[in-house]
This record gives sequence, C-alpha cells and structure tokens, in this order.
Amino acid sequence: MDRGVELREFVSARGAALSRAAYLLTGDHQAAEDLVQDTYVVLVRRWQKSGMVDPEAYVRRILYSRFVDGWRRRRLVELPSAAPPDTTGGDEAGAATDRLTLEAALRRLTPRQRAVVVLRFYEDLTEVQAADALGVTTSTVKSQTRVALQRLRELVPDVATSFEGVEA
Amino acid sequence: MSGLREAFDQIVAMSRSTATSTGPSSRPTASGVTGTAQWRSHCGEQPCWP
Repeated sequence: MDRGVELREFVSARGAALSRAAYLLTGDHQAAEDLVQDTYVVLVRRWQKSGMVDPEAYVRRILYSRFVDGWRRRRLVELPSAAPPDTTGGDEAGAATDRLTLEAALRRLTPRQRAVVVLRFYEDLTEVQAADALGVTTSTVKSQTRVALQRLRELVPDVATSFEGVEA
Repeated sequence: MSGLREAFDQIVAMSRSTATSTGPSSRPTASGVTGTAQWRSHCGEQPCWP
C-alpha cells in the first residue's frame, strides 16, 4: 500500500485518541492541538522511511516525550490555585465538580507524573509500555506513579475513592 | 483503576462539549506565524477575544 495512504489511515484511526490524550496532558485545547500537530510533523518525516515496526508506539513516544521534555511553544495559561475548588455540596452537580477538581489536580502534577498517570490509567498501558513511551525505566514509572497517585489523593480526597486500591 | 479511567473519559467528554471555536487558530500561517503568536504580540499573554 502507498505510504501516504497508510499514513492517512493511521491518522484517521488514531488521531482522535491522540488528541484526547494530549488534552489530558496539556489541559488546554489549543495546546493539545499544537502538541498533536508537532507530533504529526515528526511522524510524517519518519513515515517516509520504511521500517517503522510499530507506528502506534512510535507516535506515542513522540507525543509524550515532546510533552515531558520541554515542549514550550505555547505556555500553558493554567495557573494553579492555592487549593483545589471546594467540592462539598453533594448536589447533582457534584460529579461534574469532582471531574473539574480532578482535572485541576492533574495539572498540578509535574509533566512526567501527569504523563505517567495518563499512560497507565487512561491509555491502560503496562509499566513496561509506559516506560517505553517515556524513554525511562520501569522503576521510574513505578515511583512516578506512586508519587502522582499520592498527590492526587491529597489534592482531591473527595474523589480519591474512585481510585482506591490503585497501586504503582 | 477503572474509576480513574472513567474520570478521565468524563474530563475529555466534558471538555469536548464545552470547547468553543473562539480565539485564533494556532495553526501556522504561510508566513509561519500562528494565530496564537499574533494575539500574544497584540494583547500580551492574555487573549483578547471574548
């Protein structure tokens, strides 16, 4: 099959998922869009050459490494508040508030911690796969996951029950 | 674990439902300047669109 056709099919199949992961990483639609576009630029260059064994793993490595290792084209405008929003109230809007709170808490993790959490618990990757995506050891993934989950539990105790039992 | 996954799914779903098309495109123009860069030079760090 023509390489260009293959590339279009790959992007068509995986583009939406990449964008969702990029949003969770950046917390901002435009930043996510830019991150995905940067990833595609690298992917297209590499795609011209033959021999890409696992394009999904490759594109994941690009996306996450660019996010963690200094993707700075657009400074995120998110400024962490002194404390997460109050989630008390218990009305039917509570679930939405909890999501917003978790989203805010996610942004207060370091980029690598955020990446590890998204890889492990959104993309459902193993520690080995997450380590491959980030170019780190599995020990680093374990330790970063442990620290990140602890931080999330501290920041959003009201929703911590949703991931009780999750261990690094 | 599934709780986190569900929460992340909901964050993404909610973000998509509230996403708007306001603001400049961050896509580079032919000159290589993005809309985002243009509003930065015009308004500083804060966007000036509604």
